[in-house]
Amino acid sequence: MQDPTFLVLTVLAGPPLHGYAIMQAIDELVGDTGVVRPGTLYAALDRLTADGLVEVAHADEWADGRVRRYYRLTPQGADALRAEAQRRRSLASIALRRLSTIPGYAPGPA
Amino acid sequence: MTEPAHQRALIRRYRWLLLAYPRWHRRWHGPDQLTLLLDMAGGGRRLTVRNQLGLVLDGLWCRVRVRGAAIALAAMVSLVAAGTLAAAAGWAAWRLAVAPWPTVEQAMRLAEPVVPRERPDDVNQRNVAFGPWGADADWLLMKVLGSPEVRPGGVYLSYWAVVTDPEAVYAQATEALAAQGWETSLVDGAVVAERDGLRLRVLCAGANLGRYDVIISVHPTPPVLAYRLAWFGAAVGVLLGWLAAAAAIARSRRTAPLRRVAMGLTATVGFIASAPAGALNLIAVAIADSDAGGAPPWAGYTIVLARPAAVVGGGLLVAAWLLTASGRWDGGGPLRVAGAGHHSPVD
Repeated sequence: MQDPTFLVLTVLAGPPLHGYAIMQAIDELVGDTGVVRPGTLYAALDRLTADGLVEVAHADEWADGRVRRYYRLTPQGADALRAEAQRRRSLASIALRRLSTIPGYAPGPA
Repeated sequence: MTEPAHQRALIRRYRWLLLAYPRWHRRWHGPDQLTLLLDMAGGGRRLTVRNQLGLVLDGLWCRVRVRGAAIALAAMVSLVAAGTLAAAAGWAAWRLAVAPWPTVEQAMRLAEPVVPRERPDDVNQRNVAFGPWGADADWLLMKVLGSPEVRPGGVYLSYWAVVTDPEAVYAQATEALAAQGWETSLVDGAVVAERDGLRLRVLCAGANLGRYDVIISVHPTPPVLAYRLAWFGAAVGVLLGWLAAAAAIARSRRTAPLRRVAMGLTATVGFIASAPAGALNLIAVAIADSDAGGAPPWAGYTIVLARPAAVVGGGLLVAAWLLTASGRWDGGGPLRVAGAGHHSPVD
């Protein structure tokens, strides 16, 4: 699972969010702005909805045809996020364990 | 500018930018994506020129993006489209640029400097660029099915069993033709001469007890333009084939599984039926371009059974496309509203 997909699933683990709110939540999570572009976000949402990991909870509609969809995780999406989070946590612990075996290595400021 | 006018201008500009995305994407995500862009502008994150360029590039990438096993399907469709458009472009250019067919009298007059004796033992004429040489009775059948034996058309003058040293004949023919203003070369063991859009070929063939027949053929020189445009057609075909396949595959993800399987099977069978002719067309363009005895860019359609198979295959590929064309994105697809219903905000 690529980082943008993982981030989208992560911020959707909660109340339903619309597109801009997803971008804002990711920026807040990562501590930077513009981490996910609109094009990247909709590519991820397209794939995730097609794969059944995310669904539209509800939508606002305007007379001029615009729509604001609120997305949320499906149960399969939650399972996929949990599996990916566990995989990443396992990889991170392996990385930290291996770092501690380097002779004379002292961690610098994070 | 008043706020609504400003908003309308922004909507117009963003709608233009979103045109970079394929139609299926605009249909499914366009209204929502437009709202996000307006939300960004309202939140002080209006798109810079770089962001706008990024959005357009994302849209163009969306048009060609294919994932997983579907890449093979897109590649197959591209191959068939490349072969088809190469043939179409090459055929059209050939018709425009090729010299008229020589008559038997004209061919005999042109071949006069190299003929071993005045009257040929056999004369054959067929005014097709590359086609069957069967009996006339089979002509209609071959038109439909193609032919098991194809070769370049033109006038063929055969002189039987008159040569014991082909090399001497070639040397003499080269000298005589050059003296008449022909540009000569030795290609695949035959003398090939070109002048005024016509190609004359001298070949010693069919060795029998050390004696050879002399066959002189005269036909229009395959136009270079036809092969150049065939390459262009192939390149356009690859692009269009890929774009069409990518769009169909993306749309099929929103259709029912049974329909998706039907689409995949129909497209695969369509490819298998169309591929021989398409691949042969591309081989003809790649090889014959530099071959004096080469086949035209549509040669694949002249081979037996490849022509009807290509027609059937093309029909199946179109059918596969149509199977995805009527897929709905809402009211049953993954983008349906799963909650209590739509909200109606005040704009």
